Amino acid sequence: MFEKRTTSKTEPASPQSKQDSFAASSSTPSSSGRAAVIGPGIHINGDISGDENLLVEGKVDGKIRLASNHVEIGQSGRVNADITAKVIKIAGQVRGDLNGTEKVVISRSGNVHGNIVAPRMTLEDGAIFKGSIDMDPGEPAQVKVAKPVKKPVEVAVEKTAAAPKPVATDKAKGSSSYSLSGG
Amino acid sequence: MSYPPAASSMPRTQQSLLFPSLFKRIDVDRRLSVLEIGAALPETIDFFSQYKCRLHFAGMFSDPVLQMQTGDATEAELVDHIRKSFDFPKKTRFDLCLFWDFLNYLDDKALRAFNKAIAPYLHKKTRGHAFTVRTLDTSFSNQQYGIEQAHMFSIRPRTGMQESTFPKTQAILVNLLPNFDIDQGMLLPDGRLEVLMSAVP
Repeated sequence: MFEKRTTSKTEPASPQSKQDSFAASSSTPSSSGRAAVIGPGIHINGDISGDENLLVEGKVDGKIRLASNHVEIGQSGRVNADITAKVIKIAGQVRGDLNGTEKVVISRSGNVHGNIVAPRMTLEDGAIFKGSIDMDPGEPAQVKVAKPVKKPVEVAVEKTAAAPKPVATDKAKGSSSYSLSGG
Repeated sequence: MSYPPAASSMPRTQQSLLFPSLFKRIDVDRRLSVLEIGAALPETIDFFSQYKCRLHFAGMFSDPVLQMQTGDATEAELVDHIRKSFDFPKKTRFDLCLFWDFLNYLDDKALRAFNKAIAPYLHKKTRGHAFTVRTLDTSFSNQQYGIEQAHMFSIRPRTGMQESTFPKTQAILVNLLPNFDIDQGMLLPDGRLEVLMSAVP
């Protein structure tokens, strides 16, 4: 389901494509069955629950709870709602908390303001997110601190030859004294 | 609605010799609470996905406080605004605060306000990371940071115009941000100073 929809994200939604999405509402196959579509002209005030995948291209104010299914907020979707689903994919705008029992994906056109709980989370380049993410790799955390490589990979700040120099900073507050080692 | 173009898909990188030591000081056996003062970037999320943690993205580089500070807003009004922008749950106490160069985008009044606004979310073991400057003529580029690896930051150009900067030396910073003390610093080739900080709430 989601893979098929991603092809349309790079193109502006035309009336024809909107019609297509409506047409797809009764026949789009998905990983676990058909997907219901809330079209761009639809505004729902209230809660949504059930046992079917859902694509939202319209506007929803309320709650969306489809715990065993996929929910996708399309590029034209505007949602003011907490969303609970197995997989949540956001390409439109969402203000609300996301609880993805399997995965949450925010696409490059996605804009999310809320808190996310999910075992796996993907944020694509260009996506906008403000809020918190609860992450749990599923096992006790381990410190994975890689040692700095001796050979500078790509010092991006400025291509000056000088390497970073340790600075002995005084612990005393307000101290401005530096001890620079070398030039 | 049009969306801003995606940031460069090939971010530059910057090595850090200090950043890894933050994780040696933090108790990673319990759930970490991390404040990222800037925007959410894929590599930062990937990096922290190895930890059991709660990541808070404050998005302060696009916050109106950067415009408000140059107006007539009082310090108290700025404190109030920043707290509302944070919108953190009341029980939040950060173990790690990633300020990057944000503190240099705040003038003195706004930085004092920021210090007050963030105070409720600190604890005795909170650690921070930031960039300051050695001399006030050092400039900051319009860029945002992410974490590729503990010793490697990603750098991406920030979309939109750069806001005014108010570079802070270490001495100025600790005076205006008394909730933090500076533990360690590393002078970078461009005159910035990378610092690790400890909270003194």
